[in-house]
Amino acid sequence: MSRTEKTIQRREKLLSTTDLSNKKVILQKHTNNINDLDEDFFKMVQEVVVEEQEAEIIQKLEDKIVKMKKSNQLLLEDTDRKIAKMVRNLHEQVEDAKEQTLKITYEDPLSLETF
Amino acid sequence: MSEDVFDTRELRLRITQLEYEGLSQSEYKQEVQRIYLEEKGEQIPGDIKIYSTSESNDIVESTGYVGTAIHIKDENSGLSEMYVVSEGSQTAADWEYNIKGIFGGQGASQAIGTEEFVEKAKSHFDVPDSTKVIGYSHSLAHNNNATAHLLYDTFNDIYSVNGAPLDYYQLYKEDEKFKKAVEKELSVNQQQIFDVSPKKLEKFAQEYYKDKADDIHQIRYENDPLYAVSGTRGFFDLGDIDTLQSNDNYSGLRYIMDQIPDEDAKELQALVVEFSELTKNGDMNNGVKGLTGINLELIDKLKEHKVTGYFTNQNELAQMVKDADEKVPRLLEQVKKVTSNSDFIFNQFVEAGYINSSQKDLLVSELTNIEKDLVDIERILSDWNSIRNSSSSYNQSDFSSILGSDIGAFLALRSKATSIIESLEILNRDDLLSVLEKIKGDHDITTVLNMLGLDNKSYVNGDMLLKTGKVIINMSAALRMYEKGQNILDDKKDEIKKLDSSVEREIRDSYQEEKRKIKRVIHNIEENPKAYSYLLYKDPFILNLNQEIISIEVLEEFETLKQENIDNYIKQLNESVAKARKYVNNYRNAIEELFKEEEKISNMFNLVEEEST
Amino acid sequence: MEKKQPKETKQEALPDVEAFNDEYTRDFLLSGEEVMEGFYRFQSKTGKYEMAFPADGIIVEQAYRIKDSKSEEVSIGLHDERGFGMDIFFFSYYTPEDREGILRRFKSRLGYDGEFEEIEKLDKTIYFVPMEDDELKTYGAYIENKQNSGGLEVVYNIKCDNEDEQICEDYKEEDKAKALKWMDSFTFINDKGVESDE
Repeated sequence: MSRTEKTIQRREKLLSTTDLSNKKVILQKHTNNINDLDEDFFKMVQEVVVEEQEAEIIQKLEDKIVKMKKSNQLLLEDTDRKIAKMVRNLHEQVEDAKEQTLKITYEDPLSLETF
Repeated sequence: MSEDVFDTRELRLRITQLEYEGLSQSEYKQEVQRIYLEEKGEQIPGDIKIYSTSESNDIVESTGYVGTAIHIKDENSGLSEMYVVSEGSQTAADWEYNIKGIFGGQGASQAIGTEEFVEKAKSHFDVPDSTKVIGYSHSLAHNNNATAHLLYDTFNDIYSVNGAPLDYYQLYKEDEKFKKAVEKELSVNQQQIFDVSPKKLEKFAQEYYKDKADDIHQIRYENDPLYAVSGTRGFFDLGDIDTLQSNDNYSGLRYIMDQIPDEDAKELQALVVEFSELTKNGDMNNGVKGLTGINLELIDKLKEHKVTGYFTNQNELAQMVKDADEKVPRLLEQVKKVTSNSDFIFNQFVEAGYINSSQKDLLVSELTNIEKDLVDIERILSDWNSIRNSSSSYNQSDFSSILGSDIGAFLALRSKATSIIESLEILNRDDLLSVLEKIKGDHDITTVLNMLGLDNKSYVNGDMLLKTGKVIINMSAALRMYEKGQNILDDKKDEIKKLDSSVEREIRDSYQEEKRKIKRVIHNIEENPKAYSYLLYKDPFILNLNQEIISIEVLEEFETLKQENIDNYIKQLNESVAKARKYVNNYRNAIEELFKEEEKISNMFNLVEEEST
Repeated sequence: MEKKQPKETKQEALPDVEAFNDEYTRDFLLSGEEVMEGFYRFQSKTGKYEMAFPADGIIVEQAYRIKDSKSEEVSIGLHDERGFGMDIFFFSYYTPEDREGILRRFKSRLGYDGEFEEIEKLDKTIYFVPMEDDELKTYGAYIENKQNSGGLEVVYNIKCDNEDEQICEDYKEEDKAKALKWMDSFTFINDKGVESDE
């Protein structure tokens, strides 16, 4: 290095912040579609029984479908939350990756030797 | 008769009902197959093809005839049958025309359309000569089918439900052979025929056409409102008729109508029908406009903008006055016929159990109010007309008086129209409307299906319900669940796969892509460090502008993407599909178990499964 | 629907015949001047055709039917010695392509098994069928418009039962000629742009 060469180090964000929220929309579209399909399915099932007094077997099936509906809903909600979390994490990691350490070497002709 | 593929009343009625579902030809075919499967537990013993009037764009369309032809064929067994379902009346507008037109026959067009369509269908399907042609009809379409049959020998058999009867005046006009027979027997001419006793003509017609009677089979519900209005002259029954008795508290609408003189009954029916159609959406403005021609929105515009409104809306105003001029007198006549007999008429309805006394009083008083308003409107229109006619509009000094009287007239009209609306709103009550609904419903095919007295079978919205003990299962829905339910589950599986690969793409691949982008920038920086001089000035210790960047080195550091695993969720979603499939099968087994006496049931599930694979 | 008939002014006296004496019938007649002997000018309320209307004829009000300007049915009762009646069915949507079906159906309702006699005119074609063997002599024709869509199914019934067979036979030629003359009197009104097809 010549007498007037100096170096500094600094962290810089090399790219601007990007918004990844669109990904959440894309992914949650699938869960929304699945939800719609579930609704269609359950609707179809619930039309089958008109009256079920004294038919234990039918009552069991009706109870079961209510449970299934509920657990499917919960599963989709969990999946949605997971999706949101994944997108958030991705965002964080991407933004982090954009920040890098730069070692800058430069010439300073006016710098005094006495330092 | 029993060699036909469709050999039960339920089958015939349900297929006749399909006409109203507005189906495409392929949907129609599916529905026919489904209905047959549900009713018989087997598949139709032949190939089905459908041909409908929506395909023809010609004389059939011009006559207004609407219908669908179903051809069932089996080369091996030699089976060839063509069913022609003619569409009956639908909307209230059709009803009104029917109610009015029916008192004198529909005119020749519909029978022409029927025959032409049948011939077209035969040639479209290229049917062998031995093909049986069977007509199905509901409501007005029965008149079409039967008249076509009498005139043109169109069918082998006709099966109808709640059908409008034949009209001997219409046949006299169109069937020259019948006309000759009447002349020979009764020595009357074309005018005098209307003087002949209706009973005599009825008997004569039934005798004359008795051969054709063997081909005509009808079911009718005693409370069918169409039956109620067909007791008047001109109508006659032909063929075997099965009249189903009502088992509720309403006694014979037909009986009521028979008490009311023809002319009045006609007007009442028309008013009731128009009223219910116009109040269907609760839009009273439209109701008043439809009945009287008075457009309240227009008048309000005038009120707001006075003179300019008057000038800019001249055409609309003139049109409105013309409409009102046409509609009001006619409406007034109708209303008068009803109000002059209202006590008597509505008493009949009270006695028959359709309404109670206080509802009757309400109807009578509001109708009387409406009549008063209409009389006033008529007077306003005629006064206003005479002012207009008595002065020339070119005369400047009269102009403002015309303008003034115009505006005055419009505002008076508005107040009368508003008063009518208030009366209509009073009458627009759920309890009264539900009476109308019931009356309309008594004409429906589904009502007839449910009156057939079938032990464990009933119908709703085109679906078939089965009962065992205290359990009622919608069998059509069960088969749908079994067949279409599986399809939905297949779709769900696909969607789950898509979710999985989407995550792969949007998260994992995306991260790699971002890394690449950053590396490109890094490369750029390292190659062209001088372009990044501005970085120096950010440092608070470097103040001098003479610095020059020599090189930049990027100390790269990249994390690996945290393990974002959605696999567990995918797994659970797929499990939910498997659970649902199992559930559907359990349901099927449960139903089969419930109805174990019925062998048909498990066969139905099997066949429906076959169709979907 | 615009009325195209010019009303008679009070000055012109209308002929004292059945057709004009009947208020309902008069409404269809355009003028008190004969268009041929014993016949007056009749115009359809659809505005789409005209014909010669018999002096002794009355339009039967209860049997009259009109649907927009698409179809019209007119029934005429005849009060002359031998006439029975005339029936006119007009359909504005009939075209030559439909002819086969039209003739097939017409034959059916006439109760006729033979062939039609085709008579070409400048503006129309007449498919004629005489049925002369009954108590009522029936002359039927399908009249097809050559210049536009539209067709007429017309029937002329003449009584024969009060007479002995010989008179009936004698009048055969005359009756047939009368029928043909009447059928020829039909003219279609083809102005485009003035009447709109509804």
